[in-house]
Amino acid sequence: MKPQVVLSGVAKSYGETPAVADLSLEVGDGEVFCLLGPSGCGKSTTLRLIAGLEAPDAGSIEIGGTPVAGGGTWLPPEERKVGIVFQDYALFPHMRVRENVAFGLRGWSRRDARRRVDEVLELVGLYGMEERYPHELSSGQQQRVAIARALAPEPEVLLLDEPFSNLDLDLRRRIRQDIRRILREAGITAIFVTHDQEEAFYIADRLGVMRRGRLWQVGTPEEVFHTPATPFVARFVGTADFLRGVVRDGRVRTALGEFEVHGEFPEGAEVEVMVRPEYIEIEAEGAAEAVVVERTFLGGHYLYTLRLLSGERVRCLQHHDVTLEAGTRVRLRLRASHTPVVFPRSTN
Amino acid sequence: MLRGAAGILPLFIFLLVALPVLKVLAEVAVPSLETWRSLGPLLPLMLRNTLLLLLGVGAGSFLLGVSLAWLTAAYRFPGSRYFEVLLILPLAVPTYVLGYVYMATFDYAGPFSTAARQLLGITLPEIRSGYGAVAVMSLVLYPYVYVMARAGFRQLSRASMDVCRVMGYTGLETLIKVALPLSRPAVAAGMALVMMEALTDFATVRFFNFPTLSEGIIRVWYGRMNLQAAMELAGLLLLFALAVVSVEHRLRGRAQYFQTGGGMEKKHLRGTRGAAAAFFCTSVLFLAFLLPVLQLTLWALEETSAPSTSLEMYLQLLSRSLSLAVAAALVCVLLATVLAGVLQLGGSRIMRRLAGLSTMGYAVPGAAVGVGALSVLSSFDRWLNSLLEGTLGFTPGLLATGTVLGLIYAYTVKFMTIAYSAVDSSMSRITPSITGAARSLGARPLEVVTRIQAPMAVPGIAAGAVLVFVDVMKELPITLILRPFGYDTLAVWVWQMAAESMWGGAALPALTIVLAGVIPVAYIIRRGV
Amino acid sequence: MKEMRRALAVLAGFLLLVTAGCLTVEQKPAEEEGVAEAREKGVVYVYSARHYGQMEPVFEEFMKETGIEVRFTFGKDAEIRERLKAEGRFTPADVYIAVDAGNLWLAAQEGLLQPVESEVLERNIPANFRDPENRWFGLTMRVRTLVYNTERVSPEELSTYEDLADPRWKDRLCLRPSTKVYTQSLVSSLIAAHGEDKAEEIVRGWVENNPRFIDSDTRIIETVAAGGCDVGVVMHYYLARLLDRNPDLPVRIFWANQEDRGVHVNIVGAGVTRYAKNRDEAVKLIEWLSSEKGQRLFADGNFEYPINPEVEPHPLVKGWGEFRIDPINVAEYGRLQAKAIHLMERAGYR
Ligand SMILES: Nc1ncnc2c1ncn2[C@@H]1O[C@H](COP(=O)(O)OP(=O)(O)OP(=O)(O)O)[C@@H](O)[C@H]1O
Ligand SMILES: [Fe+2]
Ligand SMILES: [Mg+2]
Repeated sequence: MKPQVVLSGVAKSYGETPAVADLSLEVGDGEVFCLLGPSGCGKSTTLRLIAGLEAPDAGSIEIGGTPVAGGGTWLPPEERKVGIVFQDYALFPHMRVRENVAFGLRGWSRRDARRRVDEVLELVGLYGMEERYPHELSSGQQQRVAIARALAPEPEVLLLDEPFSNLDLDLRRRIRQDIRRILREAGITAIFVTHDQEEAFYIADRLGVMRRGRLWQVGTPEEVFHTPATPFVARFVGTADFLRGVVRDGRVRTALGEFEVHGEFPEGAEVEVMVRPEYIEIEAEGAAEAVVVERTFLGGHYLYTLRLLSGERVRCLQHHDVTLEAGTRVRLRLRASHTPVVFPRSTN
Repeated sequence: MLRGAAGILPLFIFLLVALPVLKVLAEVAVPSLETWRSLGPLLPLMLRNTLLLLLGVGAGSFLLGVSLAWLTAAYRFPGSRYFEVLLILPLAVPTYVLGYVYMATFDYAGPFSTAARQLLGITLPEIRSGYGAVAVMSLVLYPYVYVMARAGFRQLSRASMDVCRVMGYTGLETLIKVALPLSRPAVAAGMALVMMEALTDFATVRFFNFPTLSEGIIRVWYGRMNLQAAMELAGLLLLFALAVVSVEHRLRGRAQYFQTGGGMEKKHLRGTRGAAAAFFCTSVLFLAFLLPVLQLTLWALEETSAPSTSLEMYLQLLSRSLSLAVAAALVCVLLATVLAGVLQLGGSRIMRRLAGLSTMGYAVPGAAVGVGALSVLSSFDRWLNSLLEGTLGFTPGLLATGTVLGLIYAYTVKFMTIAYSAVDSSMSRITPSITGAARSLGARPLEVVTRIQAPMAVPGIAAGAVLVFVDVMKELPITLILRPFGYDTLAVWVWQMAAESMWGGAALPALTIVLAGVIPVAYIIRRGV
Repeated sequence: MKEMRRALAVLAGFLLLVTAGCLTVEQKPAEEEGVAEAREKGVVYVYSARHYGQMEPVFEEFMKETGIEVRFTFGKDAEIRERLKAEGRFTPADVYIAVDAGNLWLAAQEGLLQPVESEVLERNIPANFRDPENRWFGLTMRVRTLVYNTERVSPEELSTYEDLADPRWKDRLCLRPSTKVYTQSLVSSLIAAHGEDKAEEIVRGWVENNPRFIDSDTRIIETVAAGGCDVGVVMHYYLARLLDRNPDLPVRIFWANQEDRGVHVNIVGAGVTRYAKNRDEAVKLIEWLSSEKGQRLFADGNFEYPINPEVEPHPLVKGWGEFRIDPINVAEYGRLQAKAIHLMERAGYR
């Protein structure tokens, strides 16, 4: 895949606070990429840097093979062929849907513009609503108008900043299906921002996890979920528990049993082993003994919190037909298919 | 037992304040063709001029106010931080003061036109004309639009502005297509204030030979003492004011655009563009504020050698203006506090409606308030005198129209609004839960008043008093119509001296008025432009 | 916020004190005090529309000579008349001093003045400058005539008010708006001389010459001096004032209509109010003002011409020479005022 958006060593601070620091990233043509991270980590700033709404302090940015920022070049936002969709949609309340969508179609002939507006409204499923005002639309429809407006000038890259956060949960689920379809149909490169990992997994081809202005890991959803690069990524993407362990003979010993270690750890090294609730099975033959502490009902599943003999706690996901009361003694083991991820023991 | 009295109070205040306006309205409802005919060809001329003035001053203030607001809100250029604040200053200069200074400096014999003729060989356009009146009023009234437009622009969301940038809109296009339409309610409110002021002014248009309805009222009342004709004209004037109010209501529109704000990211204007922006702001500031203040100071200094207004005279004028302003401020604030307080205790819908109506005086041009009040008061005087003469065999004389009481009454009619909105905004923050919290924390009722309610209400009351005070200091038409015989104030003196071309004699009083006008401007600045 | 509040409190407190002081002191002279004391011997109360040239020294001199104290309030003519009407028999005023005969005529017409039989006044004041029924008397003369820019106009080109309607004066005139009583009286004199139709024709002629309307005689003269117009119509004393300060001003006076009826003259005059409580003192004051001494002080302060033919005018205006005066009784200006106003409105005179 040839890269469509390339950021190399990009940095941006507001006064003292670095919002983005030394960020490098490649997003392929037609790819849907997601920036995931906690609030204030610099996701929006990254989007604004790509859009040209901010200028980087250091590093460079390329779009479609053309340098747009850094190294002495500067292309203003309107020449970058990017579209942007904001969290609050930023629809113009005094314009009808048609006018909003046509807002970026400057220099288009009246006929072409009209056709294009019809086309994108068709794409987002709002055909027939072009004469309405934004306040006459539901929030899901407003959101799609915002996308149509961004898509109308045929940008090469579409940037979406938390496009779903204003919607309720049910609507979110439906809309993101639509968005996935729309983005794929439009064949456009899209970078979108969220702090909801479920959403990221659902839509993204690849995702990047950010924290404190840095990108900590980039990969497919599966890669990031199963082989997180740091304990932070592990915790932020999905649920994770950590067990103390010691490396002996290329294997690590934990309260849950002994496993193989991948990676370079010296003999006797103290490590942390990440386990996810999905990895743990309750089994009579299990290697470790544990007591049920708490049961949380999740609908299709129960999430059990268990105390190991070492006093450490782990969580474990069980089908809803496995009901255990608090205090029950059980035996646990790690699913065979999973090699646990091992990190050096953090100092804190 | 308090309920009965409290229930009557708003009604009483309403009647007091609304009577003059109603009387003028009645005049419109039953127009006297005879009187109109007696005004002859003057009437169509006044109607035409009033309309032209409204349109002209509206357009002028709109252009100045919006362009300056946009310039300082969307761009950074040399001095822009200071201009942001300073550009409100012209608000401190009453229209008739700038009118007088311009008449003296820009008419044919004035120093600027003379210099232009002698140095540049060009003849400046005639200042004594409708154009002159429009220019002068736009220069001092644009800050209403400026302040409101800035408030509107501040509400624009950052995302809206970013959309424009990504789509490649220039600053001007963004202003016209997005910022202005979204700020429409705010700008419309500013424009309405401008037009009210333009309707109220009679002195500038008199200076510049551009008779409007306000000028006509003063002309027939002050010149011919024809109250009947003055009332008819006041009725027409009121119709204009109502038209302005209703157009503003329209423009405000159904849709209240809610934007989250925080939007403007200022763009740097460099080089000639930056210099041009700074030059534009400087010019406006110079023409509307520095020039008059400098010229007045100069005249005032020249006067010290051969004063045409003696110091005793000045001090007398000052003390009269001050005492009228303080008295009116106290009355307004007192009534406003009572009104707001009673409504806090819980008033019916009708009472609230009445309170709203009690404060409509501000939308009525000064000259109309003046003759309306005069008409009410002279009926009152006649009634009182015949009553007392019949019962006690004694007549008190012209208690209302012959003393400052009538004047203070008319000021109250006009300026109650300002006091009420200031007082109400701070009183409405004293919610039952706040007093409840204080009580539950052990405060006794008296303590609740002294430690909670009074401290919370005082800033609003003080602000209301100061605003009324300043408005009265510079008020001209009402003062002229209702002042007791021979009772000149600073504003009246400025007008009379200026009309006699005694520029120097008017200078110090005019400067004093401008100085007083700076007080509320400073207040606006403190609250953030 | 705190300092702001404190500052406001201090300001409010200060202003409160000032008000209390002023409002109470202020009202008295015009009200009870004036009424009460004016009734005592040796006081006369004046409502005056004339406030030029320091009236105080005149009244002080009068007191020195007669022992009668003069109290006074200034106001505009219309205001004073309205006031007199409203006060009726409770008025404190004994004397009304007005500018322009039109105002005196109106006051007499409205019954605000009483007749005064006085040989002194009849002797000192020519008959055409007092009310035929002796309710008011002229005290000084003011001449409303032409002034011209000496560099642009030669006096031979000038002749009459009527001539200013000639097209050769197009864009060359400075006139005072119709709101000023001076203008109204001048037009009244045209009506008296020519009848309404002819007068309207003349005024129309002026208007068609596109004059500059300037609501100040001083400014008219300054504009003539600056070349903004060539000829203006003003009261003579404004020119005297300006020439007194700057003799090099390129503006001179021209006595209009010397070949026919004479120049338009108006007056400052006085009358005794109908309900005067100090009638004798009031008459004494007016008589004294018409005497040699009174005339000197009263007229010269403002370069006006004494009404008393025995008294010499101020040297500055005396230097302008003798002139023929329109012999009409100035009362006519009052009688024709309303007609004049409507005539100007019809003719489009602003
Ligand atoms: N205009 C600005 N001025 C100053 N600081 C800013 C500005 N914009 C962002 N920041 C700071 O930069 C950091 C990154 O902000 P950014 O908006 O990129 O975060 P984010 O990841 O989008 O957060 P969220 O999920 O809450 O939207 C934050 O610490 C923020 O306070
Ligand atoms: Fe005069
Ligand atoms: Mg963000």
